[in-house]
Amino acid sequence: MEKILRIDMGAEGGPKVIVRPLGDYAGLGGRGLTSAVVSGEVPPACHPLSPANKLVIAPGLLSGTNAAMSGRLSIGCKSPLTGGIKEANAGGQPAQVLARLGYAAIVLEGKPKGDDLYKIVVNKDGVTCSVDNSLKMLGNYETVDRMAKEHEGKIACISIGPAGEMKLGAASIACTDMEMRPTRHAGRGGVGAVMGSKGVKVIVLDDTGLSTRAPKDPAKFVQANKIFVEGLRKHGVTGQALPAYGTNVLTNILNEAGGYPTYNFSQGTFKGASKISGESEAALETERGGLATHGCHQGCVIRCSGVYHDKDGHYVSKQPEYETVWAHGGDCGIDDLDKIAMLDFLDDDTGLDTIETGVAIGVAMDAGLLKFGDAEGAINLVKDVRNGTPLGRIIGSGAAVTGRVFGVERVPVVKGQGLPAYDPRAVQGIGVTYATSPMGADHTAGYAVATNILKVGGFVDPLGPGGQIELSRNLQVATAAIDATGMCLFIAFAILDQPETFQALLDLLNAFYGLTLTADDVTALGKRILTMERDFNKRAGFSKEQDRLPAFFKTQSVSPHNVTFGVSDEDLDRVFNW
Amino acid sequence: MENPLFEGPAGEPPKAVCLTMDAGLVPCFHPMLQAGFFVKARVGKSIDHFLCEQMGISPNYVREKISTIFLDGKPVDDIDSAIIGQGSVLALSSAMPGLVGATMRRKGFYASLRNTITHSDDEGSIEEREGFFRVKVFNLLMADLASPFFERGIYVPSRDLEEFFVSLGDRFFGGIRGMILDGQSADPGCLGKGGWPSGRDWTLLKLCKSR
Repeated sequence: MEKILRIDMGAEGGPKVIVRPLGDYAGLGGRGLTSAVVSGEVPPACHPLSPANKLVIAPGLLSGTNAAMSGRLSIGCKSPLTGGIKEANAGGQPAQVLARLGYAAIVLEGKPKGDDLYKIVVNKDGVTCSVDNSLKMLGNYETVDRMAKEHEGKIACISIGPAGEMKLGAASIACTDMEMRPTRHAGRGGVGAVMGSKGVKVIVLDDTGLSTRAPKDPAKFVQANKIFVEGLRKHGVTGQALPAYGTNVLTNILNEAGGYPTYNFSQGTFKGASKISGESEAALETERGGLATHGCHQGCVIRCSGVYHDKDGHYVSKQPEYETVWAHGGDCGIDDLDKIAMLDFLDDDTGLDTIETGVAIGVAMDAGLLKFGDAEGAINLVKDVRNGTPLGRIIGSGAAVTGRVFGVERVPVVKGQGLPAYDPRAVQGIGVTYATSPMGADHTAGYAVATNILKVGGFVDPLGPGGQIELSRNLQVATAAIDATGMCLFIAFAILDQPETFQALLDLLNAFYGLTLTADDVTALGKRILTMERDFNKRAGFSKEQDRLPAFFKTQSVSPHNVTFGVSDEDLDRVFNW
Repeated sequence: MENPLFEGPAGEPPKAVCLTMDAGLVPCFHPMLQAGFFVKARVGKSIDHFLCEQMGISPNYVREKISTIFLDGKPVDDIDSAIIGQGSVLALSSAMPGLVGATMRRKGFYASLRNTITHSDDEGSIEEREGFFRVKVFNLLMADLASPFFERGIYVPSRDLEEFFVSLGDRFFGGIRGMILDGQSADPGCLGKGGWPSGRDWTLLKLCKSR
């Protein structure tokens, strides 16, 4: 991964391909690289759909190696949804393949002058960029199907659906899984709209004839990977709960805690929760011949995903995740897994962030456009997005726009991005992360930490009153660092509880690159990434006033605990004090 | 929280049903475990007392596997001091993923992130007596704890149980080896036909695995 592939989509005479060494970006990968390029090269005040924005696609530092769990791809830009810096990431195969092709990043720059749509192919022989208007307004599934037929051998695809071509704020970028289905999405922040503004429909990656990236110290690498995998397998969450039930195992828990946002964040429990829980979903999948356990990328040992079939045993979608089941389920009052799976498929095919789309529909329901629980109505709204109707374009532009158009007060967004599936009034600490993350409301921004890191810079009493601010800070720092490695964030549970598993991660990096990284270095990397991102946002016009939850979280309590968000603005402003 | 007015199954004698069935059919009852069922037990005692002394679950299992516990919707950190009351809701789960999953964990490092909803020990004194409360069992614990609860017997609203049996298919009823209804042998074939059991609001359900 010694080179960066830059494609100027607006060059005179057609897209211009330039391959350069990493240069000043050496040592960075994943979110570290995307945020460095965006913060260094994109004018913060530019329009996100203008030629000045850049779309940076970067595998992580360990992608393309034999390290387990190393298949995450980071995609960064100035977000059309938040107006700030964005890194969205996805699983699937593209990170592994792009890394094996030797590219630390693909950077799409400029903007074509006409409305031609381009297909980019990257293989060991080079890069081709050609017009293919026959792909216009195709869903992701058909696009990928056509690419599979055109190319022999195993390929990986990065594509946008009609939502991205229409440059909608909730547009995602799809990555293919090991079965060549476009089911893994860099969902948040409208990254698909930026790819659409660059006129790129699909990037085909083909690493035929290339091998896995070789570590500097193979023996140490193998040993570290062995310990790492052992740690993941023996941990109750990564070794049992996630493989058995996937992320949707959280539905019953959040509902029990009264933190399951229901009917557009108007209450904290949903009476239909157990019908759409991970336990129910896994039982149904197994009964119908789907899969309750499935890995999304080569090297995944947690295998938290699955495959959802209809009652006749036909494929519907990949196993809908907790966030999707919540956004289209409890948030909209829908308790039918079949309808939720159909919504998941439609989102994937149209190229939409399931969280943003579900929250937007929930806001529309609160406005009276549909009744809560109207699953067919919700399906028709997503079809409206796909068909580009005026109503569809409103929904596809996200929850904030939907709320403004329909005059809704209770619009759950931060920095314009829809809140995910945890009510911040019940879990106040997650509200701190929602409010302060440079990414907008993001449940994965402060997700991972190891006790080794927690004790760096002084130990914090987690039960103390100030604990939440410090915890959120440390979580955001550690998560930013892990996002740079290409590791799936779900390693977080094992590295939190098992110091030897966190050490094994460091040993993997050290053995691969010939380094001697410590927990201090991980912290430093995370802080560097967050500092770049906050600096970009500041130059884009953000102030501390954007690091806030919507006011209704402080004035409207959530049942059953009848709590409001109680963290002060002054405390929120302390999160990034370092 | 305790609801001293909750009468539950104490109002009238429940129908008593004991099913003997193939072990492979126990997972069919997992939805019932998730949605919740009622138990007759000593209330005014701690969660630890209920699980270990009354249910006979090993303290090691409780410590290692029942990582997340809610009492009346509040995450519990200390099961020795959290007291179950009449009409309470006790939910049991294994360790959960995600930051929020880790936040809900008993004595978890991230407990402060949910401090406004954490169960507090000073909820007033609760009279110790025989009573009823609701239990929910989630995820990985369903496979392990189904037997102890079903062998002891659970209380379910009869109407809910009727709907449940009607929703099951022939595969289920083909695996039922015997049924005892109010102490008498009965034909399990009636279970899937609806209109059962009549006249009783509650049913005490026990499951035995056939050898």
